[in-house]
Amino acid sequence: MKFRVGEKYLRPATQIASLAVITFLFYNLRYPVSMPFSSPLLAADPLVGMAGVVFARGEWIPAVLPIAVFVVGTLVLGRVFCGWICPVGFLADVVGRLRGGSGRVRGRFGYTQYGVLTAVLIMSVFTINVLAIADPLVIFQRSIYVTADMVAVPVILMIIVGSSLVVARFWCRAICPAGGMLGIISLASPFCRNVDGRCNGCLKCRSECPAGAISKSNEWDATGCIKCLKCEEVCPNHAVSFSPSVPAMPAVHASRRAFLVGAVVFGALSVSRGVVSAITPDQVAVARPPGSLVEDKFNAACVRCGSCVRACLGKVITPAGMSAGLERMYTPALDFGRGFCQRCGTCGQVCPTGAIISQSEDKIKIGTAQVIQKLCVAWEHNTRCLVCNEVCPTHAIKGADRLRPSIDLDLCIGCGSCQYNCPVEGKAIMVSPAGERRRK
Amino acid sequence: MLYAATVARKLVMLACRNRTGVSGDAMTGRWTRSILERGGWSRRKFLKMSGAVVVGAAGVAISGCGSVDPAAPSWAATEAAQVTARVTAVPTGKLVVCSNSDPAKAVDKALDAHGGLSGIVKSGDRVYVKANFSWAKPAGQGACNHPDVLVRIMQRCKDAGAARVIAIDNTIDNGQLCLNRSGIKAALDSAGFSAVVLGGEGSFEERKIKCGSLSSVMVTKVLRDADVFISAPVVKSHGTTVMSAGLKNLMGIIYGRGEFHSPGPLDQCIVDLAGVMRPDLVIGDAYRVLKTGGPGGPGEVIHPNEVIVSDDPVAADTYAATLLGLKPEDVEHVRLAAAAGLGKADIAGMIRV
Repeated sequence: MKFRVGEKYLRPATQIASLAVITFLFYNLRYPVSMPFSSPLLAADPLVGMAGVVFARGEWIPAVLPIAVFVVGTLVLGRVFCGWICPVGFLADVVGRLRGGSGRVRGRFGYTQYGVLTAVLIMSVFTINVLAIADPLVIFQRSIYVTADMVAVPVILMIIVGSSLVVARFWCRAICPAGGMLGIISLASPFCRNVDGRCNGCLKCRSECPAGAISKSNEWDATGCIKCLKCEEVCPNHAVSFSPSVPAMPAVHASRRAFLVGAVVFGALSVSRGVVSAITPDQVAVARPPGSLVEDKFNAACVRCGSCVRACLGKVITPAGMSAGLERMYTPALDFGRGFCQRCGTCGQVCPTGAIISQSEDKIKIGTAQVIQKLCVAWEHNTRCLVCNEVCPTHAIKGADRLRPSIDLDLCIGCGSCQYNCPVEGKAIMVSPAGERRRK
Repeated sequence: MLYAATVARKLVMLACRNRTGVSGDAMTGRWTRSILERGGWSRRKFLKMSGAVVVGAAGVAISGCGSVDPAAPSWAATEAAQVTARVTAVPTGKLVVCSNSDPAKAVDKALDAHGGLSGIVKSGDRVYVKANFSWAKPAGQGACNHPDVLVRIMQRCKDAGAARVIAIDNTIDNGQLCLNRSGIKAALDSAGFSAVVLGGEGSFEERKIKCGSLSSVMVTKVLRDADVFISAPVVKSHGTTVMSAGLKNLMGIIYGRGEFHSPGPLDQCIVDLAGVMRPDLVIGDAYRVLKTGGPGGPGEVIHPNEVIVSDDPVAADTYAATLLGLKPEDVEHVRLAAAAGLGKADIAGMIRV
């Protein structure tokens, strides 16, 4: 009996541990990075990998390793990640417990998930980013950031988790594109659900299944099963087991509804993309981390996960707000009032998509500084200040007669040290992205 | 949940800061202590008063009305700062310069010729060494201390009986990056020493200073704990002040250096800071000298292989200027410091080994 109790709490315990580890990994993102793919969780996310492959340009090849580990794990065990590790799934489970009564037993909503997945992948081919609002790990990581720093309310996470109040794990069974991708891989998993002759057809398993993976005729859906083992647990006759057997390979349940939903999602995303672009002003110049892609590709590649913001050694990377336009929201922008770029390369190492890839120091040009002579105490009041000259790492700021600073535009790399250290209220030297060097 | 946890954490941090923020100790070293005692303050009395302030502050914090401004100095600190400002001359003015191709031997020879550290570092003392590791530049560029020079200085303090020897600096570039790239972290680690990067406004406290329009300066709180305060500057050129050595080095113990530059004036502020925060000993690292392109480099690096030791910061800097091919009067803050009586600019009686 004791053993049974322990088994019952094994999954929640694993989920809590995973949530803790994932949160820790996010907070542990800092210089010096410990691995070549140092945003370990997002680097292992096959959806982020596939959607980001267009931006990768070979430099990103080492990052394939964690994805391979993840995929092989799913090939063997199925969607264990969803049921046992995914923090969003865990929160959905917790909130789902608040759902009173049994309600109507729902299935997989016509496999709409694959429609969403297809739409997301097609969008990615056309370098349009939707993972920022579609990948659970990205959403979770950003939610930790905005919650802990009290900068915003994690609305998307709340909607996902809240949907569990209506249908258990609604997101996981009907929408999540990452889950859909893992589901397809799961078809090869040998750990299938076996039902023996003791089954009396009560279908208690079906009503208890949080993933909608058991049909009215007690057929099991390998692509939906999150291996929570609830069916095994609740079966009054112990007829259910998950011992290894022949994989469910060919059984892909595509439905007309999935195609419809795919088309609708694709249409909706395309329209919203058009709307977002239309209302995002082009003129707003945002300084980007060194090694960023050119602006349009950058906005497509960046999943807004917050890894670079968290890892930035100079504390200069901040998530862009609404003022930079809706399309740029939560993308990394440099705020030289908070810090300056140390050229440590950490942002490029933790970026999971290749939106930023670290550059050698001589290739870095984030922008160009400009002296605002009206504010500068040396130009206006002959004060021997010259902090800017002192802190400039490239000797780009010349101080004629140790007095008035002027800038050599070719030498300036736009690190922002001058702006950060300028003692003048309102800053007499400012860095703009003018002349920046981006990856193409 | 997460909101609640963060709020709780911030509240706890706030409470802690209030409690530590108002303790009365304002020691900067034995020299400051002697000044306090000369002003009729016994160490016992000083500690008693400090203790009273701490207890009072703790009481305030515990009783929940913790509206104490953490940046505000206690009356004791203010008193100490006012007393220190009276003092001018230094007793010995002895200046030693040694050269050796081995950095550690150069330190040893210079310290031995100066008479060792006896009388400066006593058994059980806590020694803080204001080093210079302000720049995330490779070791050879001469922007930071030579790691072996710094380690040897700290080792000599330990050998003299110090209970704890810590290198400090408020760095320009990120402190961790500076320590790594300069090779100082590796050298300190292997010798069993540690460095503290001074940072965060909360870890500094206000001191009265009179300089231009500035009436106060934020000085690191870690020096409250110091029995001995040693300045171990790198001798190098400087874009604004022409030279950076013992006096300029002290700008690495304050917060908000920008105020020295503007409104400033910078050279006068350096001198005024040196009058308030006087080191017990200056050990100048001129093993490598960044002759041009200072303070951050890169620039021309020359190799005098020298170490300068003096308890007179003006004498030490006067000699340092000659290494850069300057006349002492070329460096305005050295000239002003001599004029203010902080030390002797006459280095004729210098010991050279």
